[in-house]
Amino acid sequence: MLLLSILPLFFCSVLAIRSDGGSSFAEELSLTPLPNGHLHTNFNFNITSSEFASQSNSSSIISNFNIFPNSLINLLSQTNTKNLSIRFTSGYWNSESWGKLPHDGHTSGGNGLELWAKIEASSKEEAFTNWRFLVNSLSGFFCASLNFIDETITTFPEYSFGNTHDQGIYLLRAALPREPICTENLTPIIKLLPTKGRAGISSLLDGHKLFDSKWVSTSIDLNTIDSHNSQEDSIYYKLVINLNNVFNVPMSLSKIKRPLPKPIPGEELNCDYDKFYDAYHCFPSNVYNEGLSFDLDKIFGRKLKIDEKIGDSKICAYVNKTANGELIPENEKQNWELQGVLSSQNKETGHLLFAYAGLDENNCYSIPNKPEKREEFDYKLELKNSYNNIRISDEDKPKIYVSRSITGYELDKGGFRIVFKNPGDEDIDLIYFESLPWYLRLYLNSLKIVQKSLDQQDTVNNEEIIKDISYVTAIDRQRPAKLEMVMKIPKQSIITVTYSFDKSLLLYSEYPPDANHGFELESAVVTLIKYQESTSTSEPKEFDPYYVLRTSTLLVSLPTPDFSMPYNVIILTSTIMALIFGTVFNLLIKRIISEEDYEKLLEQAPKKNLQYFIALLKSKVKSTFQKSKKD
Amino acid sequence: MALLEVLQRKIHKYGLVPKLIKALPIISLVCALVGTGWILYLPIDGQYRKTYISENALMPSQAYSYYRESEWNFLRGYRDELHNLVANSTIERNAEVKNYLTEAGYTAAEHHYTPSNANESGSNVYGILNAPRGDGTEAMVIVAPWTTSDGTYNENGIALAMGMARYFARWTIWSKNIILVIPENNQFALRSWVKSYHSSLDLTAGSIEAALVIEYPGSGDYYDYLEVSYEGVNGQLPNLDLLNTAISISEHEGMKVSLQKTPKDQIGENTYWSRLTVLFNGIKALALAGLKRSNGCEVFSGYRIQAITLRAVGDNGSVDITTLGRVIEATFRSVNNLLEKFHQSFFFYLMLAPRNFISIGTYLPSAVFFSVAFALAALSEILNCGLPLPVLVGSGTKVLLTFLSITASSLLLGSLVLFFPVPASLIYYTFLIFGLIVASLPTKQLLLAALARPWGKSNPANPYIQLASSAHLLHAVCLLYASLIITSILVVNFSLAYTMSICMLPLTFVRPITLRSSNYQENINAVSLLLSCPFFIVLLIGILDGDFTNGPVEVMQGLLTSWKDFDCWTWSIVIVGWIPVWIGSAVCGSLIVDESEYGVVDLKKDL
Repeated sequence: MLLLSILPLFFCSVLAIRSDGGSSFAEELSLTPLPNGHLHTNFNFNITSSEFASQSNSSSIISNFNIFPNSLINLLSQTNTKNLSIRFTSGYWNSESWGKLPHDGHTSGGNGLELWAKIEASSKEEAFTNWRFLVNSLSGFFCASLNFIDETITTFPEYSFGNTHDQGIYLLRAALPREPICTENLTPIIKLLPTKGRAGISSLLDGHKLFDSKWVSTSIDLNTIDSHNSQEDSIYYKLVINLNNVFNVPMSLSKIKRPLPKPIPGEELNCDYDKFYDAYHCFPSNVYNEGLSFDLDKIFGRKLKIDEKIGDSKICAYVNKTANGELIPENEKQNWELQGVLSSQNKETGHLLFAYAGLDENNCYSIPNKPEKREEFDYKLELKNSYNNIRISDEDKPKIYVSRSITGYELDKGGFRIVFKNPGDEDIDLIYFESLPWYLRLYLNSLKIVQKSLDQQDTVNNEEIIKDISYVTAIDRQRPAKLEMVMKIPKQSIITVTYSFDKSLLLYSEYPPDANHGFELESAVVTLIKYQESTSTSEPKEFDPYYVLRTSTLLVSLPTPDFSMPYNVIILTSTIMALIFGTVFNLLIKRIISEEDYEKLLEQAPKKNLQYFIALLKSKVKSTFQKSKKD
Repeated sequence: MALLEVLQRKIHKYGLVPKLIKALPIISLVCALVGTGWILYLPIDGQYRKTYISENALMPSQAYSYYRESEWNFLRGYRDELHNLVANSTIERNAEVKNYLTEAGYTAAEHHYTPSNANESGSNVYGILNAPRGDGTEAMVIVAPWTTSDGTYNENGIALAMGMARYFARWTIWSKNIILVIPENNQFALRSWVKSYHSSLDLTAGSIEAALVIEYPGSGDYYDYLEVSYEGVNGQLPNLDLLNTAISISEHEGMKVSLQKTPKDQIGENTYWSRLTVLFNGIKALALAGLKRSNGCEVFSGYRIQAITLRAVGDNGSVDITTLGRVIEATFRSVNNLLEKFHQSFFFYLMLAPRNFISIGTYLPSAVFFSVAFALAALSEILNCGLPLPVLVGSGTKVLLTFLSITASSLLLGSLVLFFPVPASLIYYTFLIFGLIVASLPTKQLLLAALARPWGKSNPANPYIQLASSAHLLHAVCLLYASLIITSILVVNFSLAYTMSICMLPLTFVRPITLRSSNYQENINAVSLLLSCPFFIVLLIGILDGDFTNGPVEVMQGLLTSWKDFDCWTWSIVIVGWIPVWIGSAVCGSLIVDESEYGVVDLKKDL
C-alpha cells in the first residue's frame, strides 16, 4: 500500500527498458489486501514515446512510433495540449477502513468522469476553442459523453490540479458526475496498450469482473516531457494508465460458486462459535480461521497469457513490508503467499513456477520473457492467516477526512456542509476546489466556519482557517461558479464550513432527461499541500501537493415541472373553452320563437337572390361615395 | 330575446331569487349533507379504482428473492444476541449494534439528540452501506426502532433489519446507498435523526428516496399478517407506487395485508362496509397524524421521503419471519431500480382496500361542498337576518377588527402555550379543563352576554340595533372565514379539512337570539357550540379512540407537542382557523338582540 503511494505519479519509477527507437513499455500489477476481506488491485501501464524534435510535424512523429498510441498524439498536437488527464471513477473509497487512496489520490477522480488539460494558446478564448475540439474528439475515443463538456461546466483552476501559471499555458478542467462508468470505457483503454489485452497483465482485464467491484478508478495521464538528454530541443510523450479496483474477495469467490445470490448451504456457514450456535442458530463471523486462498483468475475472471515480451511486466504484492521496506517480523506477518502455477492439460501435474520465496526483494514476480510457446498461467494467491489481521497502519491512514453534504430539503434553497476532520497532530494546509453549476446561486456571505475539537466540543479559536479564497461567480448559462479556498486545518480538530445557495428555475428545454432524478453536483477536490521553504518572501508561496482526495458527488433536486402537464392543461382548457363558448353564445344570441313566427319572418326577409346582392353592392358604393363627398 | 333573457324573465316571474335567499340555510345544509354523503358514496362498486404500478421501473417481485434458508440462521443468531440486551441501556445496546454493523461492512455512527421535554440526551445508531454501483447520491433507509409503537422490545424487528443489512452487503447490485437506522423509538428519536440528517450529521449518504420502518416485537419465528401504515403528518402520504409495491410484494409472498388496523378476521373482505371502514379509519388516522404517536412513517414527512411502516402482527400464524425479509428485499430492489424520484403515481389518495383506492379528483368534491356550505351559511346570515345591508356594512369595520383581534389573541395564546416553561402535563390538563369550561359556557350564556353588552354601546341612541347588526355580521364573517380555511387546506390535507368541516358544521345553526327567535334557538345554540368546540372534540376523541391510552390528555399533549416534535400544523390550524370561528360564533350565539325597533323587514310578510 505504502510502496504504491510512494511512487510519484508522473515520473513512475518502474524501470523502463528503452527499446532501440527510444520508446518503452512497462506494466505492473500490484495487489494490496485491505481490511474486511477487501483486495486492492492496481494495473499500472507506462508507455513512453521515442524522442523527437519539438518542431517536427505530427506525421513525421507518428512514423517514428511503434508502441505509442498514434491517435492520441495527433489529437494532442492538433489542440496544442501539453498535458491531459482523464479519470473514470465509480463507487466509494472507504477511507475510514481502507486508508489512503492509492497513489496518494493522484490516480483517482470523483464519481463519474473528470478531465483536465494544459493547453498552450495565445489567449483564453483560443485555449477554450482547442479544449472544445479536444473533448469532442475524446468523446468518441473513450465512448463517453465528453462532448457535453461546454462553457457551462468548464473551469480554469487557480491553485489545484498542478497549475504552474506558465505564460501561454492554460489549465482547463471539467467533470461529468452523472457519467456511468462501464465496460465500454475499458475497451478503448485496452486498445491504447501495445499488448492490446492479449498478453501480459492486460490479458487479465475483463470488464465484467472489473466493474463488479466495490470501487473502480481508471486514470489516463498523457504528458509532454522536455528531454534534457540530447543537445537539441527534443521532447517525448509519456502515457501512464492506472486501473484501480477494490474487490471483496469472499464476495467475488462466492459469486463464482453461486452466480445467483442464493443462501449459503448450512454446513458452509461461517459462524461465531463463541456465541450460541446450532443447526438453526448462527451468529455471522468475518473470521476465516482456515485463511482464505484464491486464484488470481477467480478474481479477474481470466488467466494470464504470455506472449513475446514487449516490455517489463511484473506482478507485485505489497503486504508484508513496512513503509521502509523492512520485512514484518514472522510472528506479526500476514502470511500472504504468491504462487504461480503453470497450467497444462492436467492441472494436477502442473508444476510450480515460483513460490513466495521466489519473489524478488520488492515482493514482485517478473513475468518470464519469451516463453517457448503461448502459455496460460494460473496465479494462486494464498492468504494463510485470517483477514481480520489486516489493519491499516497509522502511516496508511489519511491525514484528513472530508465529507460534503447538502442541508435542507426545500426546492428553492439549500446549503452545503463540508466537514474537515484532522485527527493528526499537525496542522494541515490544503486547497479546497469546488465547481458549481450556474443554477445554484451561491451566497458566499453566508459562509460560516465552526471549529470543534475531536470530541465535538466547541472551541473558540481565532485561528485563521481560510488563508486565501479564489472565487469566480457563475454567469447564467455561460459559466459555472468556481470556488477555491486555501485553508489551514488545525490539528486535532473538526472544521465545519457551511454556506447556502438558491436554486434557480431552468428553462423548459434545459432539463435533462430523467429530470426527476435530480441534478448531480461534481465532487469537491481537496489537495493537501506543503509549502516550499523558499528564501524569497514572494507571494503566493510555492507549494507541493502531496495528497488529493475527492468528496462524494451530491444530488440536488430543482423544481421540476410535470412535463406532460402543459399538454393536459392545454387540452382540457381548450375543451372547456369550446363548451362554454358554445353554451354562452347560444344563450346570448339564440332566440326561441314559434314555427309560425319563423315563417313570417322568413317571408318578410328580402330574398337573397342575385338582384339582392347587386342592390346591396350598389348601396354600399353609394354610401362610400357620399362619405367621400362629405369629406 | 335571447335565451338568457328568457331565463332571466322566468327567474323574475317566479321570484326565484328571494326564494333562493330564503332557502339558503336549507341549501347550505344540503351542501353539507352532500359533502358527508359523498364519502359514503365512494366505496360503492364503480366509484373507486384498482391500484396499479405507475412507474415501470419498479417491477415489483420480478426478481427472485433469496432471503431464506440459511439466512434464517443468521437472523436467529442476531436475535439470540439481541435477546440478551433487553435489560441493557440504550447506550450499551447501541455500542453492540454498532459493532455488528461495522462487522457487516457498514460505516456506523451514533447520533445524539435532546428530547424537547428532557435534559438528558438520547442516542440513535445508524450505519451506511455505500452503493457499489451507480453514483451513490441517493439512499434507501431501513428503520428498526428499539421499542415498537406499542412500547414493546422490537427484538425480531432489529434482528431482521440486521440480518437484512448483512445480506444486502453481500450484493454488488445496489445503485443506492443503504442506511440502517436503529433509533430509540420511532417517534421523536427518529424524527430528530431525520432532521439532523438534513442539517448536521457528519456521516450522510445522499438524498433519501424511500424508508421502511420495521416493527416485529417478540422472538417468535412466525406471524399472522402484515400491517401496513402510510399516513404522514400534514396530510402527506407516501407515493402510491411505494405503497402498491409493498402491498403487491407482500401478497405475492402469500401473506395477508391489513390496512388501517383491520382485524385478522376481516382482512380478506372486500365489501362496501369493509371499504367504508378502511376509508373512514384512513381519514381519521390522517386527521390525527402527528397527534397519535404510533406509526413511525410520519416522521419522514416534509423531507420528500416516501416512507411506510411494516408491522408483523401475531406470533403464531403461518408466515415465517424470512417472508417479511423477502418483502423488504424485493421492495428495496424495486426502489433500487428507480432512475428518478417517486413522482409517477398519486401523492393524494385514500385507500379502501389493499388493492383499491380513490384518487384526489374523486374525493375532493366532498370537502368542496363543505366549503360551499359554510360560504352559503355566511351569505344567508347576511341576507336573511332582516337588517338592511347599509346597517350591516356600517358595522363592518368594527366587526372585522373584533374578529381580527379574536384571531390574533387566539394565535398568540395558542403559540404561547407551546413555549410555556412549566411542566408539560400541567399545561395539557389546564388547557383541556379550561377549554371544556369555555365549551360549556354558552349553555349558561350569561357571562358572555354580560361581557358583550357594553360592546354595542357605541351608538347610544339605539344600542341594540347596532349590536344586532354586529352580531349577525360577526357570525357571517366567522362562517366565511371557516369556508376560507377549509378551502385552503382541502387539497393538501383533505382529511383534516373534512373532519374539521364536520366538527364545525353545527356553528352554521347558531343564531343571535332575537325577539323573533323560536324558543328552541337558545338550546340549539348551546348544543351546537358545545358540539363544535375543539376541546369538546378533543375530549370525545380521547374517550372514543382506544389508541389514546391516557385519554383526552394524551390528545391534548399530541396537539401541543406535535408542532415542535413533528412540524405538524394541526394545532396551528386549530388556533388560527377553528378557535376564532368558534369564539366568534359563541359570542353571537350568546347575545340577545332586539331588531324590531329598527323596523326589521319580515321576509314572510313580504312574500
